[in-house]
Amino acid sequence: MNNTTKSIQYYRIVRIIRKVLFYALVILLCTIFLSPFIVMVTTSLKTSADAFTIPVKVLPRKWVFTNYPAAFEQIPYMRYMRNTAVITICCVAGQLLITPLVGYSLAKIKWGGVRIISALLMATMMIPYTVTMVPIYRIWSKLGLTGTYAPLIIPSFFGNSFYIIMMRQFIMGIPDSLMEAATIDGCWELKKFTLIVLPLTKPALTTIGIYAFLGAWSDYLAPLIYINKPDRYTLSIGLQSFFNLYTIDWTALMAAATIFVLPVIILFIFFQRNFVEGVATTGLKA
Amino acid sequence: MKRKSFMAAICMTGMVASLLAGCGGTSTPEDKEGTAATTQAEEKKEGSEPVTITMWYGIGGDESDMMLSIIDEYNKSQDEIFVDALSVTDSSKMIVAMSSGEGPDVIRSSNPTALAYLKQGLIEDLNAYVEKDGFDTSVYYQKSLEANTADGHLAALPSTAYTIQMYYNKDILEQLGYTEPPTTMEEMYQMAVEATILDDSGNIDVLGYPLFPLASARQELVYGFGGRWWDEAGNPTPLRQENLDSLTYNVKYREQFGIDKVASFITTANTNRYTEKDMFFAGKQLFRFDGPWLTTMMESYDSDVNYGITMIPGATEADRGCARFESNCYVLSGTSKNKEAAWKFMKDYTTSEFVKKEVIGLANLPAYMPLFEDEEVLAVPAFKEFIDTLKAENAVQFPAISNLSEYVAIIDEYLDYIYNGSMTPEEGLKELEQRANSITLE
Amino acid sequence: MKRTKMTRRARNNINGFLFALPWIIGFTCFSIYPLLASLYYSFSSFNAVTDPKWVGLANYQNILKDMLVWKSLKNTLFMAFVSTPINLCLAVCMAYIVNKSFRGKGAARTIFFMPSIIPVVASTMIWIWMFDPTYGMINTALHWFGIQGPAWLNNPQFTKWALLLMGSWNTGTTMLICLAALQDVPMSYYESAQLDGANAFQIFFRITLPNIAHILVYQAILNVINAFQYFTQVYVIITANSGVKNTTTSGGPANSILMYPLYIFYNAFSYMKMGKASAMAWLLFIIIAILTAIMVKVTRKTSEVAGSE
Repeated sequence: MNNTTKSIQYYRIVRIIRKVLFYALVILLCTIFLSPFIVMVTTSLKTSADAFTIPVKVLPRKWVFTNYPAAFEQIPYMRYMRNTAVITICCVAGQLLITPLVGYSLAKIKWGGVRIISALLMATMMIPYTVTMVPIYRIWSKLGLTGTYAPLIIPSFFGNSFYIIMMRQFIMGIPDSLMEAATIDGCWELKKFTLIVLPLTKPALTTIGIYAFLGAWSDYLAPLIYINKPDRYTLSIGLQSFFNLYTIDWTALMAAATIFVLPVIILFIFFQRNFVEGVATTGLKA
Repeated sequence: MKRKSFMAAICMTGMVASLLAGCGGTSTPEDKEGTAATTQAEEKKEGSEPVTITMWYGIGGDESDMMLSIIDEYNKSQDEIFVDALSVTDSSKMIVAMSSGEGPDVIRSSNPTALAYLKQGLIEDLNAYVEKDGFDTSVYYQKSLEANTADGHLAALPSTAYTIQMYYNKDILEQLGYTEPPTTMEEMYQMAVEATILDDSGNIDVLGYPLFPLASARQELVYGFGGRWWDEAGNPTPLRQENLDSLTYNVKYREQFGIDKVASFITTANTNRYTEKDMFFAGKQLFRFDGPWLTTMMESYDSDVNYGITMIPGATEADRGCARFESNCYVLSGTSKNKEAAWKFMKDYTTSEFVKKEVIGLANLPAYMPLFEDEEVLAVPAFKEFIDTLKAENAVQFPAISNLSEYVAIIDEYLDYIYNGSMTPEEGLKELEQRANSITLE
Repeated sequence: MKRTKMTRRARNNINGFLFALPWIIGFTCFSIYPLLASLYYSFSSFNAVTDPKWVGLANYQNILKDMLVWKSLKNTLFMAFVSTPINLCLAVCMAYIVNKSFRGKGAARTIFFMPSIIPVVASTMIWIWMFDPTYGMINTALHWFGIQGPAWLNNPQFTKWALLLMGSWNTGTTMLICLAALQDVPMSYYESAQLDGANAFQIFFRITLPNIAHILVYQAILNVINAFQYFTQVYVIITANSGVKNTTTSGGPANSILMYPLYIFYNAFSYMKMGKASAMAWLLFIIIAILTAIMVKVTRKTSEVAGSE
């Protein structure tokens, strides 16, 4: 009897210790994962002298907000923001327009190209951008469109393998019975698509839209290659203006980075579920 | 119903796009400047129709504003040419732009870049222009012309130039009992070892040997021993006795004071370079191989270091002053649509009062001969010393090879191995020699 | 009856084709044509302004001789094969954690996932600042424990580890996929294992791991391919380290972070050797194709094994 209570107590203690250790691990991991964000925000609120004083303190010794106006002053931030927004919106629109069409074709129309296109979709995901970079650059160069936003935007209007697979997966899940009714009515394909399928794809469209937004907002290599006039820079290219000839204005740069990251985080907070779903569906089933 | 909301969403995004475009436009100060510049250009057009040419320069930050103001003054000074100047700091951008015919008419670049462009056929060979105008190029300092010439073809007109000198901390030297700076490398090493101070935990407090900046350690610290990275014909020759000597001293110093300690000092020095906390300004570096701008920077940071400037020591006293000589210059793009106007701008600008402002503003040495005697130029601190060094004619120039950047990348890699002790200087240079021959030096 | 079926098939073909047309055009212009053109370019010499001139195998010979190609390939392979297991392990661990029910689970999941959506340029800049040997947060934190941190991005022995550390911050996507996979494992498996008296480790290695193995292999392939595209991070780091100078085409300290795509980029847009860049690109393509084929084979095997259990 005494023994059992002892062992129960023992197990209880073990369980508590385990729980504490588990929480400690989670908190530690979370701190590590959050620390870059913390550093970014706190550095942006430090004076330059403060950031460069030993010992380094996590929190500012003196809280200042001057880095934010300074960031806007040092580089044409609003202009870069606008450029980035224009490109991003066009890219998102392109993807949203095209992806359902192609996804529908692969998921619901029984035609000869389905198998080969599905295979090719997978294959194109394996082609690194670096491989096709030079010829694609030459295409735009021959068309005289380098230096414009065309090379950044137009490819979005031809779909992206990743999103198409995501959409195909989603449309496959729409029951055929819904569409059969329409077929009997003698409804033709486009009508069937727009009236029945398209409205149902809204969740997938949201997810794709978010991913397209992120992709365009963060894109670096393409703007690096194609945009050459500073007044057309996007934010990801423009942020480098903080790298001066020899020194980097870290406090202002961190302020600029904070504003750059903010829309993404806001988007994430609002659409967290879509992010998770998007990752899960494509990751698992593709 | 749902479809409608979807379409509405697309419309919304469109609207947001135009909204963003609109509101960005009104609130950007740059925008206003841009329009101001164009209206100015238009006003001038009404008068005598100036030709607009575009000019890109690879300078960012505060110096960029200075360039803009100089060009602005140039534009106001005459009404034939309007120069639209733009700071583009990424070299690949220049190439991409030129290749698609989107490039500028004139580019301000450095002489190795200009020579590489010429070799690739991206820019105009200026010989024809010089001949046609009967332009007398002897108004430029001979060395800076040579720096911009490959196989007899002139790639660019030089505007400024720079070389490297030795800055030394007088107080530290005096404490050690020396009254004069070293004239030979051996002497310098001796003083450097004596001057190096470690703190309690063995970290370096004062660095004696000029191992920082790294670019100087790769160049002047090697040239000083009589070493070179290439021969007269431009072939890579890393495995020379003199190069080996230089590296042997370099490594000896590092080993004596701790490879890690020296490396960590250099890293900190790199972070603080040209800031208030620059190691030399803070009196923590005895010798510093650097350009003429260092004095100007020291003044702007109110550094109270008691310093002197002298020529880079040599293997013997007679070999002093071996330092790199580089030139900044203006090239004429091959895709320019206003070549005549662009040429006229380059020619006028580099031989005028405006280039003087560039020289003084960037604290670079002049290339236009009359400026060597100009009082304002000579009044810039340290310029006299630097100009005297130029007259010693020991400057070292990069060879006109198009694979220079690849070669330098490899040199840097092997120097890193040698510095961190994973290779001895002999091993490193031997392997470097093999690898250097593997890249095709065209 | 038969005729209508035929026409319906034809109609389906036309409809299907038309609906997929945007992608077909895109695929032709932005995948197949560039791939073939790249192959052709790899046998020619040209810069940004001139037209390609056939030079035969010269570019490939040049690649074989150029030690920087091999150096960059070595760097990239290192990143691919060291980062992949690290990232997968971390992702599985984190997924395992957030798969448990505890208070703050949602917050933990959000925190783990968020870094992977931050624009790479921004996150790289933050990390460069964190890696600063004197004023950076990482060495400061190490200092609290009495450790003198290295000069992460300046010491060739540490640069790649810095990149790995940076990369492991972005494992959120992989974590979510692993989480979904974990949730797909039927509870009954665990229950029967528990009845058999298996401990947590046994359960993890005997039940959890085999059941998510196929997902892990697929993630490994993606991770390796991503590693072969590793560009932005190193480009930003190098620009930050060297300052904006006009002529730098550096590969970091001792070329230790000269990644293959970066060297392709330098060749194409700085050295203006587009032919050589194309040859390098094709070499990369072949390597990736081989690696993918191997990994797909491995996946089939592991999923067969998993299926048979």
